[in-house]
Amino acid sequence: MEKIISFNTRLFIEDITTKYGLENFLLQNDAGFASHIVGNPTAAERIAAKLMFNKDVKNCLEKNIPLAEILPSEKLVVVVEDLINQKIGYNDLPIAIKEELNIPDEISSQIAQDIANNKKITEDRINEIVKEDFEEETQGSEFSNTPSPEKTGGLSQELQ
Amino acid sequence: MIPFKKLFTKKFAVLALLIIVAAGIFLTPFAAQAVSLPSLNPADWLLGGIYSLLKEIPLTILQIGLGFLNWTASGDFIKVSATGTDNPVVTQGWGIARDLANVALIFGLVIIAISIIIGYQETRAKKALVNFILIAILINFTPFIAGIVIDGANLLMRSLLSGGVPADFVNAVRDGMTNGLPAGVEAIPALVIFFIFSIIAAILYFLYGLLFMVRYVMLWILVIVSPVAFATKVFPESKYIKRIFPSITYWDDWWESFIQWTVLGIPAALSIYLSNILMKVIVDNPQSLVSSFTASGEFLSSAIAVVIGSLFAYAIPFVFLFMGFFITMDSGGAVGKKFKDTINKNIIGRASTAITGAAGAATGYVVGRGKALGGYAKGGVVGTVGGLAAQKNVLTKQGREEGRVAWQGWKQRAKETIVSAPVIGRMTPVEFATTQTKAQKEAAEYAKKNKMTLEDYGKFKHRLSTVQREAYEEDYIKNNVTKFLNSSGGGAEYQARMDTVMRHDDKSKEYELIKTKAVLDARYKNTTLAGPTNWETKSGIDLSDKIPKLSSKDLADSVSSEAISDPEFFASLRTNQIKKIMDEGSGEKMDKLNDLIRVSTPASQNLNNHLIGLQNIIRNNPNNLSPEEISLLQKKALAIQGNIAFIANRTNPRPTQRTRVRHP
Repeated sequence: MEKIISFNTRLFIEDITTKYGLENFLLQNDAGFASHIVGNPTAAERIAAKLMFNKDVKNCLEKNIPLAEILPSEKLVVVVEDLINQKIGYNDLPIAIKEELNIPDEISSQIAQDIANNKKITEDRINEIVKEDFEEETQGSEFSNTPSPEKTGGLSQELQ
Repeated sequence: MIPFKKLFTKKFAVLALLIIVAAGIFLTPFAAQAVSLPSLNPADWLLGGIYSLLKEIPLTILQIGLGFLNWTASGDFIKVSATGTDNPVVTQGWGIARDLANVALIFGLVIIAISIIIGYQETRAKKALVNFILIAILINFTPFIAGIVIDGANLLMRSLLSGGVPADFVNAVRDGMTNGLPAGVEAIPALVIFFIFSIIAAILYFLYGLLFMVRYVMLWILVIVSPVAFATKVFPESKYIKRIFPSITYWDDWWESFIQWTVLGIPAALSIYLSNILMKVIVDNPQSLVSSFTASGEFLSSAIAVVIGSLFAYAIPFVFLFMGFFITMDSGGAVGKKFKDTINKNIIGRASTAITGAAGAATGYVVGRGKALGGYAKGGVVGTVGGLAAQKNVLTKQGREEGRVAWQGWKQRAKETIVSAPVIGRMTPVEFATTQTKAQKEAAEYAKKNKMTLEDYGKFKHRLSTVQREAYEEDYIKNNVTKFLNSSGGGAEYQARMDTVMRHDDKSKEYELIKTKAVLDARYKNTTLAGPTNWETKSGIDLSDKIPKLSSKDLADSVSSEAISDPEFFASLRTNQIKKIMDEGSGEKMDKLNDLIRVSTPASQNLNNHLIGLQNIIRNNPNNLSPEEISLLQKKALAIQGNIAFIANRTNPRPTQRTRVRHP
């Protein structure tokens, strides 16, 4: 089964997209959408705003077209998923990014470097499964009746 | 024993009526007070009979009770001492016990000797030998030792009880009943009050008398077995020794019982003494203690009010006596508890049934039959009164049942109020509000033994008592509140079940979760069935606060697919909760989540509008909200966007293979 990127990695990719201005065209083409991206929104806000307010994205969603057809960030998601599934190596990254995004070598190399420096992606590439890095389950579960698993002793303890 | 229910047959009723009529004819007839010649009207006989019975019976019982107490409280009650040679029972019994103790000591001596000879635990055995010698001497003086303690306690008791209990109260009752009440039907309610008052007083006198009597007998028994109890001090502490010398024949139990039975009479005597002082004050000048009773009106003549008022003044010393009795029992440790339990079970319980049954015969069908028929009518009365107060239709079975349930709720709330009250609360153990009554415990046990599915419960619940139904429902609520609510037939039943959920709140963290699930269900799943009640307010559960705190599993279990589309609910979800719903939720829930990012769906448009509204408020603050409120809205907006991004990341269609780069 293929691994898909974690939510945090998706946010990281969104940050890269913003850093290199890969999706500036969305703001230029859609004033309504731009009105929702004011100030310094977080990565999650930007993703949500795109999904909810950008007409091209909405069109894709409407027709069930993969967002990677129009969004550079989603194209990067595809590349990173190929990376963590070990379909490509780190050396292939700059070329893969360049081919997917159709951007200059210099920028694709920098993006590749940023991705290579991301520890979470490295871990996900090595590990069998992608671990979601959410807030601790117990943090919010101030009240829960789910019984905790019984602690079992080791063999020596049991023999005692 | 024949149950009262079976006894209360038509034959019994006819017999009772005949007795009343006969009493009306042969005892002081009511009719005779009204007219100079005996009336020929049977109604007068009946009323006369009731009048006579209400007057004669309690007075007689009261006098017997007072006499019994004065008899047992006086020093002359038992003419022989508890420990002296003038008491044949103690002398002979103690002799036998001493011989048995000596046999036990010989066995002990043999064991000690063997231990010393073979050197097994020699030091311990030598120590035991010293004890042995001491005990062997002491067991011959146990009556003397016990006698000192008993005489000390008796001396104190007798000084407090000197003069006994005055007959002031009995005289007041007799005067009130004989001279204070006017002739006629209007005297009957006052007579009933006198009747109840007298019976309670008589029971109290009997209880005190019984306490003193039992104390004497118990002290005899304790003195008799004292040599054996002393002898057990030689043996090491062992469960086998305790089996050979059970209960008060073993030193520890004997000593504890002896001290408790000896001193038990002191607080009782003190209560009687203080109550006597109060009675004396009332006899001398009642106004110095209590103000005048002024309850006269259209149905209560001033003459009766005066009589009842004087009777109520005597309630104070009686409450003193009553409380004193229970304090005495509590101070008596295990002994007192045993005595109190026996009294509660066999005397107060039965007597109260008898009193209310008898009083009910005079005052009305409902009260009397209610108590006498084992609480059946009591349930009806509670249901009716509770139903009326809760504005239910008490003419229907359902209405009365709701009334009974409402009554349970009020009782519980009253307990909670008491526990949280500033002064009384400190004097009341916190368990008071949560401790189950005997009936509740039995019902819980019944429900535990006779498990029923919710479907069967729906079919057979009419056969269960209110308390049993409550026990079953509590069980269902704690097992799966959502299932319990969703198996209700209609709106009224659903709302009743929601009320049940709120009523069983034991303030625990676990129950908070149950309430949260229930409110979630009412708010987002069964909105129509839940009716107009704001369950969030009623339960005190703030869903926006509680939802993020729910574990992902609990939330995934209890959340409905409808709830997901609600922007407020969606804003309160955490990403790992969404993940759980996506991983383990139903297809319907998954569709709802997808709908939120599919622009054409109403759910998505609704969420967009909500978010736009939030952003508008955050940016422009048209309503001049405080910075804290704005910050809260910002968090909500952020949560919605974060959650949308998360769903999109996990559900977004991936591009086909052709777009992917392949490198060898």
